Parts: sequence; structure tokens; C-alpha cells
Amino acid sequence: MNNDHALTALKDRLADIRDSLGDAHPSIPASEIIARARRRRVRRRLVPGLTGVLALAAGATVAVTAPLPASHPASHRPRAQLAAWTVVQQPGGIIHVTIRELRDPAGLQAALRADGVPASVSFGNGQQTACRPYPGGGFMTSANPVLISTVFPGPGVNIRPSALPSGTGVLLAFLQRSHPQPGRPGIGIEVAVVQASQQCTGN
Amino acid sequence: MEEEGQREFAEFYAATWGDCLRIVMVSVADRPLAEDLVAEAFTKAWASWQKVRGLAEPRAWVIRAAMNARVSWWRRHRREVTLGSQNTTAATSQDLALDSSLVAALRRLPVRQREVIALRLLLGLDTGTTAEVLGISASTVTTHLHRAIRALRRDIPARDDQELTQ
Repeated sequence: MNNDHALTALKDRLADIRDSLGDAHPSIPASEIIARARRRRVRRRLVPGLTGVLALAAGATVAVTAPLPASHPASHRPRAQLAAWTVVQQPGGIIHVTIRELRDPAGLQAALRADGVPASVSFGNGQQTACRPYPGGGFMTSANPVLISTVFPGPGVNIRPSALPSGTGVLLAFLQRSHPQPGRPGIGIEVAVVQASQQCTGN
Repeated sequence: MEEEGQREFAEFYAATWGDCLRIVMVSVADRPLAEDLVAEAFTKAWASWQKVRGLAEPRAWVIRAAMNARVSWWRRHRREVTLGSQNTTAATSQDLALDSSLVAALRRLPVRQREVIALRLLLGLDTGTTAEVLGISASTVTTHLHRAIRALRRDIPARDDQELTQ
């Protein structure tokens, strides 16, 4: 056995593989790469309290900062960047909920229901005892109907109504949490797929 | 100054993206994943552009960053925003007409050995430069390379091994 021959043979084969992949052009323009790096930098400044995700049996919790209070919600298009919360419909039918302040849960619930999401929303420590978990409504699959989003377009929840099993809805609970940095507010998010009912999700 | 840096980065990106993608693809045998990893690496490269632009081999920095990226921000982001499309099935090495047995063997190598293979054999860096990029000694690069070759000879099926052992 000769290591030099082996090396040469391996190098040739790898070069063949590499070259067989042909010319490729970036699918993402450089300007987008730069913009993403900037957004990430800004997000790190604005959301220093992001402490990670704790997956639970029927939900998940994440701590986020609540930067500034402002006006009320908007469906489909945010009317104010610093509203207490926003509901934005994204391409592909995903609905993104961003929470900045624990205010007006009924308004958020109504906005979600108006967008076709059977939802039960609570802020604070109110228990949603009328809601029953949907068996098999676990998380962490690619087809998950509801995901906590810590990254894009901002901390919050992504909901894909079309992925909700028939007869189910979404339970969203937002809780005040301690922030790693003293003096700053934090928000915990719990999400779960629940059985739809008049008492829980309004249908 | 900022505009100059952006222009420079854009030129670097356009000139090296293909090379970086091909080399990462050989390592991961999955084009969507490779594109994600390379995009993530270039995002990091821009974030550290003042440092990266001054390196002797900025491509090597990007390739190493891509190969070391785990389930990254970019990956999570992509999955979230494409939930509705349902068409994110990864291409396989066969789809890409790669030498699948060799690629599979490569993927079984420890990360450091894969890095050495990528930089030494695919990017064509010499031992010294590879050592500099990886922050290890030249003799360690040589050791990793020999171990990688030995592992590949052991792992690749007989018909392939014949070529490697001639």
C-alpha cells in the first residue's frame, strides 16, 4: 500500500465529485446575507433576555424581553412596530404572533380567531381550565402547526392553521417571567394544541 | 467605508460561493443543507468581515464555518418560514450524482478529519496553510489526513478500495 498513491487517488475522486456538481450561483444575494447579519446583530441588542426554550410535555416556554408598550394589535399588517402584540399573516399561510407586552389577551384571541385560528389566549397566570389537550399534539416536528419562534421575524409564535388537525385549536399562554437582567421585563410563552370547543377556542 | 466593505464582500461572495458550496456538499451530500450551511457561514463571515477579509484564505474560513455549523439560526429560520411549502425534502447524494460510497464514508469521519480532507484535498491548500486555518500544527494536519485516508480505505466498498490502494 502506498499512501501517496492513495492520497492522489482520493484527491482525484474528490475533485471529480466536486467538479461534477457544476457551476452554481448563489440563491441568496449578497445584500440579503448582509441584511440578515445586521438583523441578527440588532436582534441580539434588542433581545438580550432570550434565554432558550424549555420543552414541556404539552408545551414550551421561552423568555423574551418586552421592549416597549404601545398601541394595539393589527391583523395581517402591523399598524405599529411597537404594539403590545402583532398578528401578521406571512406567505404560506403562517400566522406570526409577536408579543411585546402582556396587554389585551381578548383582543389577540379575537384577532387570531378572525384569521381562522381557533385560539385560546391568556396573559398572566390565568388558567385555561376549559381547554383539553389534544392527544398527540406534541412539538418539534416539521409539520408542527404551532411553533415558538425565537428568531424570525421576532420572538413570538408561528401558527400554521392548515396543519391543525380537524377539531383542534391552539392554546397560547403568555406569562410574566423574570428577566436575566435585573429591572427588565420578560415574557414566557406556552403553546399547545388543544381540542376545539366553545368554551376553549370559541367553536 | 461601509459601502466599500459591502462591495468587497459581495465580490468575495460571488466569486467563492460556488467553491464553498461544492466542497460543503461533498461533506454533507445534501444540497439544501449545504446551501443553508454556506449561507450561515457567509453571514458569519460578513459579521466578522474585518477579520476574515485579512486572512490568507478567506474561503477556508467560510468552509470551516459551514462545516462546523450545527442546526443554526438559518436552518431554524428556513424551516419556520417554509412550513407551508412542504417541499423541503433534502436531496440525497444519489440525486446529486455524487460518488455515494465515498461521500458516505466521508460523512462518517470525525469533524477534524473531514475539515482536513476538505481544505487539503478539495480546496487544495498546503499543509501549512491548512494548519493555520484550523489552528493546529502541520504535523497534526498530516496525522489527521493519514487517519482519514486509512478510514476511507477501510470504509469504502472493495471495488472502490481497489483504486485507493493501488
